[in-house]
Amino acid sequence: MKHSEVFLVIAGLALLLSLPIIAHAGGFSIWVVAKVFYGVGVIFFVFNK
Amino acid sequence: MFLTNSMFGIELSELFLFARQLGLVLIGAASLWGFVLTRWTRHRSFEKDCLVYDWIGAKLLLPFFMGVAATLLSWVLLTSFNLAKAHEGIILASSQNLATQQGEAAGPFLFIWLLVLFFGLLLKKMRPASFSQNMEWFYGVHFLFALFFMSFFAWTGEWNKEQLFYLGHSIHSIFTLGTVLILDFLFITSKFSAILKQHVYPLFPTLSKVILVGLGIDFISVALVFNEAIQLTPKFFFMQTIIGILIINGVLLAGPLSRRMLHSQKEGGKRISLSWEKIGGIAGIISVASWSTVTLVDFFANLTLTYIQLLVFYLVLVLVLYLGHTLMERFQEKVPAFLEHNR
Repeated sequence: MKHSEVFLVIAGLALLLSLPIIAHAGGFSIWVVAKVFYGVGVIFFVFNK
Repeated sequence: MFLTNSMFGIELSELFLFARQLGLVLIGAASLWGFVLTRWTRHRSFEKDCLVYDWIGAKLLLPFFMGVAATLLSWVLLTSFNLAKAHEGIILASSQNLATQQGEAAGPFLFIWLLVLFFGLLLKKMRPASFSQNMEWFYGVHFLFALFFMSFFAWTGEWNKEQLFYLGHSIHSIFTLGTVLILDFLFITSKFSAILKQHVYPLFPTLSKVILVGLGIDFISVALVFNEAIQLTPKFFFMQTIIGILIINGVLLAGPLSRRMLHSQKEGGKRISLSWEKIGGIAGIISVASWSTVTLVDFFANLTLTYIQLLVFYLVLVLVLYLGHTLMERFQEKVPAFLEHNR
């Protein structure tokens, strides 16, 4: 898998993982981290040949 | 009065608003990719490629006119509407009065658009060759109209971060849901012709990039209003679940699957196995179902369904789309002789 795909998969998994944490503890840290990983992944993906 | 009846917190007017948005999204996406395909061939000047991309570009008139029908029908049925709510289940309500005023103000522009559309259709009927040679301008103009209407309905009256949020949410659907629908349409259209696959499959990475960037635009616009709009409702958790699924599914489609499909179409490349084709089809269905679901559910401000109920709705939609896909493939019309080359 390419770097961009790894970042994007991590973003998706982190987003799903963050939901029970948000539901029980109200913390959005992992959710935000997921979005950051998504942004990095998309940038890599767009400039990937 | 019947437009205010609701079930599960879903207003009928919200359904019509979604239908209008879906129509504009289809018009915008079909026009965007129709323009790209037909314009591209002018620069490449490869005779056969020119014909194939022109043929594909013309095929996009089908989703284009489906979008026109949905837009006009829902516009007529609507008596009042709300601006598009938040994405990802993060809610920002809009002013009903402002939305109603905008609906009325859009009337003259709708008339102009219909006139332009009518003349385009007249040209297609009277001088089909001329229409075909200038198809990119037809698509270009209607893409701008779609952008205009989506922006118009998202206009709050002043430039602030709320306005940027509404604009981002409205327009990004062309690049996300719209492009996903066009990608799926192209996938089905090219299924039974190796020549079409050779021309369509190389487009998939570009379409995937546009979809992922479109979602990024959505993330940024949500960040602008996050603090005032966040509500931890079943709708929010459901939407986030679907977004997680569509990111992972999108990576599968845009990455390993796209590479296998592209490789299979190269000279000397091994034919993609039936199981990978099947996986590709299912991933495409999940993509369409996911994007349709997040766009649809967004329009319901006071949804009373539980997380599990929403999940069941999503799974039923995936099943319905799978059956629809199968039916569409069966009724896929024969391609012209110059595209016949099954592999």
